[in-house]
Amino acid sequence: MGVPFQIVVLEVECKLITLKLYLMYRIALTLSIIFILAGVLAQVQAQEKFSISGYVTDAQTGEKLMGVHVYDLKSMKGSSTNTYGFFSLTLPLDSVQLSASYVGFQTWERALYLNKDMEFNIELSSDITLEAVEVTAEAVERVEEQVQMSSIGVPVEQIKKLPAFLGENDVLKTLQLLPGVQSGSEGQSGLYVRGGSPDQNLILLDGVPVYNASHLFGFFSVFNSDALKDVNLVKGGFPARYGGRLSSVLEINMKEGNMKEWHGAGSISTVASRLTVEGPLIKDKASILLSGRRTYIDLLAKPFIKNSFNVNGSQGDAGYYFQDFNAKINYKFSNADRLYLSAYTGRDKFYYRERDNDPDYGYATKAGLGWGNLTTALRWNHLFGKKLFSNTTVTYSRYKFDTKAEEESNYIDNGLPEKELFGIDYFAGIHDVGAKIDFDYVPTPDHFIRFGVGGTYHTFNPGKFHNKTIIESEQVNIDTTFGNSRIFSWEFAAYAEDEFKIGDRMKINAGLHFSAFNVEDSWYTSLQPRISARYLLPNGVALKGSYAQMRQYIHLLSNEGIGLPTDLWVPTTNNVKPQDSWQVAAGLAKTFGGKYEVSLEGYYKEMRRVVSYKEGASLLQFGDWENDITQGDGEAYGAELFIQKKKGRLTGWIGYTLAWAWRQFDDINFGKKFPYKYDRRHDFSIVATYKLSDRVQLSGAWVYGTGNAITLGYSRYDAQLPRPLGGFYNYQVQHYENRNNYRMRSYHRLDVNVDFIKEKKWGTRTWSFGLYNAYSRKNPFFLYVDTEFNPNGGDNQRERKLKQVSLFPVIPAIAYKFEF
Amino acid sequence: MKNLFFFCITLTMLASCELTVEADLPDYEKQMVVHCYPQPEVFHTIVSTTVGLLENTDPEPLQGATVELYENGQLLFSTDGNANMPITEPLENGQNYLLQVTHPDFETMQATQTMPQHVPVKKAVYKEKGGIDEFGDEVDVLQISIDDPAGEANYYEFALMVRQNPIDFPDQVDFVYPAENNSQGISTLYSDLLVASDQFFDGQSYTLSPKFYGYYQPEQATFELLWRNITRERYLYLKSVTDHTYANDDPFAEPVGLFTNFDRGLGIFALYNEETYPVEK
Repeated sequence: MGVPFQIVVLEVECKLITLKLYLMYRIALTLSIIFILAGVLAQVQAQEKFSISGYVTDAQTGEKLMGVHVYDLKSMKGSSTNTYGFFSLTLPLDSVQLSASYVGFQTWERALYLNKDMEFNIELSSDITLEAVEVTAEAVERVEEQVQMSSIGVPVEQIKKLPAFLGENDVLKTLQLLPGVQSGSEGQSGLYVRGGSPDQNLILLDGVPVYNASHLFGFFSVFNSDALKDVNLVKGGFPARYGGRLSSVLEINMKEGNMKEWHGAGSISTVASRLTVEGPLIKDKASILLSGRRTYIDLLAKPFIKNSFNVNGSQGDAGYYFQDFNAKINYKFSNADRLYLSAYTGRDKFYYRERDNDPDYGYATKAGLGWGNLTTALRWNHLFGKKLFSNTTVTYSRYKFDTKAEEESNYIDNGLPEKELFGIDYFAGIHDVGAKIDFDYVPTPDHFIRFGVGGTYHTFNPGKFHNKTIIESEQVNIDTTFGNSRIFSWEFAAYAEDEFKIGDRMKINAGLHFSAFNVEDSWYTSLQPRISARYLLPNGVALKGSYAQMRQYIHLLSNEGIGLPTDLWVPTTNNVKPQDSWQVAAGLAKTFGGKYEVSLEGYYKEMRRVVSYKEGASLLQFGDWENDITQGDGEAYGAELFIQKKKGRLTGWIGYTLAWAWRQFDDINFGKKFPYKYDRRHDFSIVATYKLSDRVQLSGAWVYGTGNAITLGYSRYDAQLPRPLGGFYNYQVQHYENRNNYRMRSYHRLDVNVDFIKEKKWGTRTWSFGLYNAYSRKNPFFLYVDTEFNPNGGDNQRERKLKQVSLFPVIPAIAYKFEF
Repeated sequence: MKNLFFFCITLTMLASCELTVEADLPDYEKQMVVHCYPQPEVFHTIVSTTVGLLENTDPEPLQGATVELYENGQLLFSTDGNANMPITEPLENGQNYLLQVTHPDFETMQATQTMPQHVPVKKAVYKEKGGIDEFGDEVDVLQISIDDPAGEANYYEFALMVRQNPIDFPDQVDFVYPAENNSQGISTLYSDLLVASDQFFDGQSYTLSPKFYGYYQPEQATFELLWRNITRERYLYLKSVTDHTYANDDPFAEPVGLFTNFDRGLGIFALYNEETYPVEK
């Protein structure tokens, strides 16, 4: 009788799931139809029109150019290329003076009579008369013309010119120099965007989520700058196409590979080396890019470490390294169809091995700690006619962490050989399989419509232990696995947005993002409105505003100190609810003299059900993770000033952020609101590169930030804990007035770098010399109370002192870079 | 150039050593600390003060304090700050009590409590190897059945007492050691005591199932349940002290603030009533 009942239950569940999916499909369809109708209506109202469409590429490399401004000089109507270099422009029947411009490239122009739909590709050539630094600048569309606010694109070439920690240029560390983006502790690559926590950042590499973007406990990020094409950070005013995180979206795209000829680049620095090669598999049709990086401190130190183990007959080895590998292939089937396959894999590994082959008492000890990401994306670009562009993506992303310790001993007991083995493994992680389809539809120059749907299947492993114990003499043989069970979930999203003009001065991006999450037979759904608007004032100043609601279904359980690989990704469940936020921002933007872009923004953000460990909860506890966490609210507000110079020998920016960030949890700080750990009142950065000559280039960055908030007791007392039958235990405890009540010293640091560049027969070589923390500021990392002996202290010869530990004094770096 | 390269590597490794400097601590205001746990027959209180985090002295009892206990606004008795005196009139369930502590050098401190009603245990059964802990090992389980009163937050405190030889040594009492990570809603304290709140079973007939690491030769022992109904303030304080001490030993633990129910100053004034129940095996 049980089986038919189960079948009935299963059928009902299947029907419910089908119903939910159907509802989602209907919502997505409705949204799409609304926006498409808006576009079609705009088209119908107009006179007879024709479309010009195609791709814009770099003439030298064949690389697609994103954000190129393609416009008609007569009507001043225009459009920008999308992520894949595609543009579409629909204009009335007439003569057209078409122009395509991008900073660092010669402006392309062509006169034509538009009396039918046209399709052609534009190749832009580098402008050798311009300063090299200008090649690195962003699209020609000025900041006041863009409707998107709270967004910054950082050219990869500029990242490579800035001072680098230990000679390794780092995308995430460069982003920390921007207003509204803060670093965590000293040297960390984690991002804290507008009062949000690191799990609230969606980091996408070629459209695939990267779950742990750190190497070596956060001192380096996983992104190899030689393999990257562009980096764009959105911290507010999110268009509807983005979803899944509350605080930011960081889009990083890998280079596609040179379609014209083979090239390479690489570097050898004090900690790592890297090499990238790219070139055509079939000229102008297929290309490949391969890039690798590895640290080698373990190899350099190996002789010394082995010597230290070779004592009394034992042998051993220990070390640490990390490595990355990027690969990308793209194939152009026709002008309408292109295929991209990209992959990234990276891994950190600590290892320790020791062995003694003594026949009376031999032992072997092995321990290891490893973590890493694997991401792959298969993308298919397809053109439906002249106005509709589609990108279909299938993705796989995996992050896993594992640690292992094992000790085996072999000895003689009462003349008999005995063996004992104790081993424990711990493994945790997440992997995703996803698919999505995105459409760009450009019905008229005044409308740019985007819509799409996608789904991801998440598998969470929130931590499992494997224990193996063998004691032959006692006939013990244990082989058991315990810990948290795997959790499976579905996440779906659908969106539609339209960027449209109203008159010459007003431009709006409005849209809706729908998301759904299925876990443990529960469904969560959310409809998130998004709107950004720009109004051009008569004096050329753009007035901007935005509103965005966001929802996040997956959470990161993290110690708020250093970025440990043990951080756990966990899903929304029946007990742990999704996080929500809404953010409103307003600002002004203007370009002065064609060189200086200035933007000033204010924002207010509220977050609901953010996740934190409960008071006293620890990474070292082995209990159910759901019991260790609590959910509460967050609030962040502030203002950001960004002044950027993109042209000339001197380029760079000044960023200043005035910010407040708060948290409130019923289970923490007795329900009282408290400052977030990375509540930083003032955050200032000045970044500059100066081209002294064709052979010498200088760069520098100075940062200042209010000290981090930590919890520190100013006093202590004896607390009494009663025994069951009378009497008390006394415990000396620290008294905290509030969570995060103490401010560590302010943080400031100057990094400088000089590049010596020389053209060689085979290419270009650069010697790069840098200093991290040039004036050796002792920036706080953590505090502790120490007791010192004072011989002159009379009755109290022991003195208690508060000590501050700093990590990095001045650190020099040297790197040899080459391009061919 | 090669020499320069290796010089930089060496310098980098040397420079990466940690640096330590002294840090400043803001001034703080010395505060009075009161611990007052009236037991069924004994009134226990101790008054002390805080000392600065960097002071070289340990906290000492404070002389010269006056402690007064009021029942529904009427003074029951007055004593000095370090009392351990018998209570002649037992504190009654459902009555309101106010503790006031005065000292010439500090502001007067007050805290209030309502003596909780007693929720009797219907049945207590000890199950040897009745459950498993988070490592998959077998542990013993005590099943405590109660009727939790509806519509109010109730808090319980209990310990499993054991007498190995009740006939020859009736006063020799041990406690069975509870599992560290216990069942949902149950917290293990440092002192063999456990606490629970009714947030997951308010108003229900419910069986609490705390886990214990077991006892040597349980078949020969006699078990008893020490069962207390405690106030929310006692529950929060005991939990916060326990969490604080665990967190102090763990560099990866989140910091824990200590609960207080005094209007100013620090410490706790907390009431409970108790019964002892036999435990079936």
